[in-house]
Amino acid sequence: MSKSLIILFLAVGLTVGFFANSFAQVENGKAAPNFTLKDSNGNEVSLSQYQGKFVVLEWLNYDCPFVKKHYGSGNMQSLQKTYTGKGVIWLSIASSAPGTEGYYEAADINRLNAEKKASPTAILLDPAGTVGKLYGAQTTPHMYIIDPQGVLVYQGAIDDIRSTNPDDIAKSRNYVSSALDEAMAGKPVSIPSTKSYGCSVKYQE
Amino acid sequence: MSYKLFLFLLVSILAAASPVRAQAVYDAHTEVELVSGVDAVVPGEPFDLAVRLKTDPGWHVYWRNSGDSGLPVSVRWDLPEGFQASSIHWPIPQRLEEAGLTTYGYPQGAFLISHILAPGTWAGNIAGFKAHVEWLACERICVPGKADLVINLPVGESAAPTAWTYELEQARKQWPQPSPWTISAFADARSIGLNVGVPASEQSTITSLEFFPDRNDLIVHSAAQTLRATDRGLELSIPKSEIQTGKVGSLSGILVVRDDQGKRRAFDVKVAKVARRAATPPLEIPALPGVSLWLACLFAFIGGLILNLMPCVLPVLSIKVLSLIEHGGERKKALLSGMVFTLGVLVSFWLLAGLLIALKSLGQQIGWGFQFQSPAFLIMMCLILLVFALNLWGLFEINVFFPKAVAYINQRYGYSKAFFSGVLAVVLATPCTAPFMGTAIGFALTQSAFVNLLIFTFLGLGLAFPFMILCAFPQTLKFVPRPGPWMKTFKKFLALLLIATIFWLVWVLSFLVDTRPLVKQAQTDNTSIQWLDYSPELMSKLAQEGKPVFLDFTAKWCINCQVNERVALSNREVADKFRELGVVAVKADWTRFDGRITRALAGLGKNSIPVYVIYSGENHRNMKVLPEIITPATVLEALKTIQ
Repeated sequence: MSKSLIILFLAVGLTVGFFANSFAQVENGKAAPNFTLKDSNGNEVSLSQYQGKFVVLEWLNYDCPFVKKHYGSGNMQSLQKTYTGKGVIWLSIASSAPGTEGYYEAADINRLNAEKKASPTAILLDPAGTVGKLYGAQTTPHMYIIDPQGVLVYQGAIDDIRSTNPDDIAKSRNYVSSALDEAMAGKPVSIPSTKSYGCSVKYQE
Repeated sequence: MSYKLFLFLLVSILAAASPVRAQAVYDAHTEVELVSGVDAVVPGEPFDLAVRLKTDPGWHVYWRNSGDSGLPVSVRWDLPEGFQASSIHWPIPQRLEEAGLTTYGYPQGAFLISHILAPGTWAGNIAGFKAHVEWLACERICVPGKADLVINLPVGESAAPTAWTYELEQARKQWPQPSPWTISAFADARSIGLNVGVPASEQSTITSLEFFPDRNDLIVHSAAQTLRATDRGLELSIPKSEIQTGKVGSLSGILVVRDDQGKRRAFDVKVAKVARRAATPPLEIPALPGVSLWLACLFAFIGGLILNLMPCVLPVLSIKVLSLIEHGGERKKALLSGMVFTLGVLVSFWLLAGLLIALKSLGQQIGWGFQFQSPAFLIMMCLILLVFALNLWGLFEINVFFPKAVAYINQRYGYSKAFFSGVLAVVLATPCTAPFMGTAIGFALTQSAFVNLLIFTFLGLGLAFPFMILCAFPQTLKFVPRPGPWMKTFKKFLALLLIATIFWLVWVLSFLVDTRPLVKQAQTDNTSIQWLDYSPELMSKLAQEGKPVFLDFTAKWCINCQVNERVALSNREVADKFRELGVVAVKADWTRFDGRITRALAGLGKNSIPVYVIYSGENHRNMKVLPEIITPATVLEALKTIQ
């Protein structure tokens, strides 16, 4: 009887719709999800266009004290310079929503980028937070490394000393450079995921 | 400069340098200073020094594990030769929600006390203590702060209390204590479990347990921690961080306990070796105190009975009664019909229980009535009911569509109708959490799968019971009129009931698809209660300010909530009392899924609504949970607790 069938379907339908979790998580060893965002120069940038290269994703908020630690000391810039010099694609992603800390118009981002003498491949604008949530980026900074096959090989903190103090950088172990060095030498990444530290990403409420 | 002025200045300078209070530093929205509970150092006698942090309203600093973001306060002591400082004693932190992340901290600041060991002898009459303090203060944005603090204390033979003695005493009361219960831990692929040896007699006084880990990367801070009773006491299950792929060696942190008086305590947790457990835990036989388990079953049964009276179930039952009348007193057939109906009810309750158990183990945060938060479910429900209503109204017969199939089924599967009437009764009944049922389910969800099933079974038996009576004693059916032309009228009446149900569902649906805030009714008159929308931030702000709060967990689809709101919370006298006592009314609207509200409910050990809680006192240390059905008198009585 159709009535019964529909009711049965209804009971099953109970399960529908509760699994929508706003925070996705990406998994190491799995394909990193593709995305397309506008960069600060107005160009569309997709992850997929960098197939065949190592890609670093860096969650960025210039006004966050933890980000200031790494930009104020020149640590982030030197990582960018070193690895882009070796053919790595470095994408800094700003997921701050308009009106929140770290949100800037494209022109201001370019100005700040120049002031800080930073050299990422591109700075991507994600004011809606979709890519941030797709990757489960929780903090600024939050770092991800994707290998030439498009597989995620590292996610987590930039280094192992959770602080805002630039003096700690010299004493710390940089997870990003060690993971990149290992992966680029064809070795497995010995520490593939860590707990990121920093300010909360200022997503749209 | 006159002599008098000089003397005055000298005295002021000396006063400023006086030992009791050192210079406070203000940085990063936080006032920081070193304070002492004694006015002098006595050689050989230990004493306490504290870093006092007081944040601006809305700002907070962090515990020794800051959670998903933030940074712990750090204190580096620089003590005179021979003095030694203990590590910091951290008072119990609050769990804070920041933009989807969970952190552990102090919304108003904290006293971070170190125990200082003084050497047996000390040359000189003053000892200077220095501390370099760094912290991160956050509101929505974060600002790092640092300060070099100094306090000079005279060295003497005896010491007297200072202005800070009392406050340090209060701060010490906020320290986690050694646990009176044995605590062991195990880990499986997904979660970490804490076995807390709470004796059965004490279990009922505990309303929540929460583990705050020392390590930052051990657990998913934002995930709900679930509690259940086992034969060893209570087991707290905590979703493990995905970073933890290897073995969890040891484990430490604090266990925060909230009791039924609303009191919050904490115990130190130190487990040297975390046992490994297979991914799928074996089904545990419940070792609950017998009485409370059977009491819960009884409540479930009574709750099921009461469900029959719910406006959302009544139409379905009436349809079934109608079909019984159609069978016209054939005893055997009626009895079988009743049993099949009961089976339908039970099977769907078991399905629901299974679903809940599965979802719960997946760490999903759901609660009773959750299906009404899904627009797809509601639209389907409306369509089904519309078909039923049109059918009852006499516009068409179901067998018009499938005459052969229906005839076939009526011959051979005559009871499928009864079965699915049972199923429909359950599906429709779920939002109507009658009193008792909430308690029973809330209890069941903290229990093992077995107890869960047991509770749901009794709930189903309760729901089907009146029906069974009708079937088992057909003489009661005699009181029901014989079939006749009246049936058409009755059917039309039932159709109207169904239409009303559809209107109700559409009304619920309109709130789901509407993206505007839910509870923004224009309440310009000042005779009614002014409601604020719930948020954890608002609650912690109100707690900080020590303002009494009436917290209402409600939803559009919860009929009991609506009734309570009309009867008790729209009452003039209640509204006046709220104003008189300065009670802030906060509404947590669960019409749409809201993880924060689900977590808040879980924190209260609840899974369904309505729930009403009155918080009062400094830091909301007093908490009173109201019954599920409230009257103006209940509310007024409960408000007395804050006077």
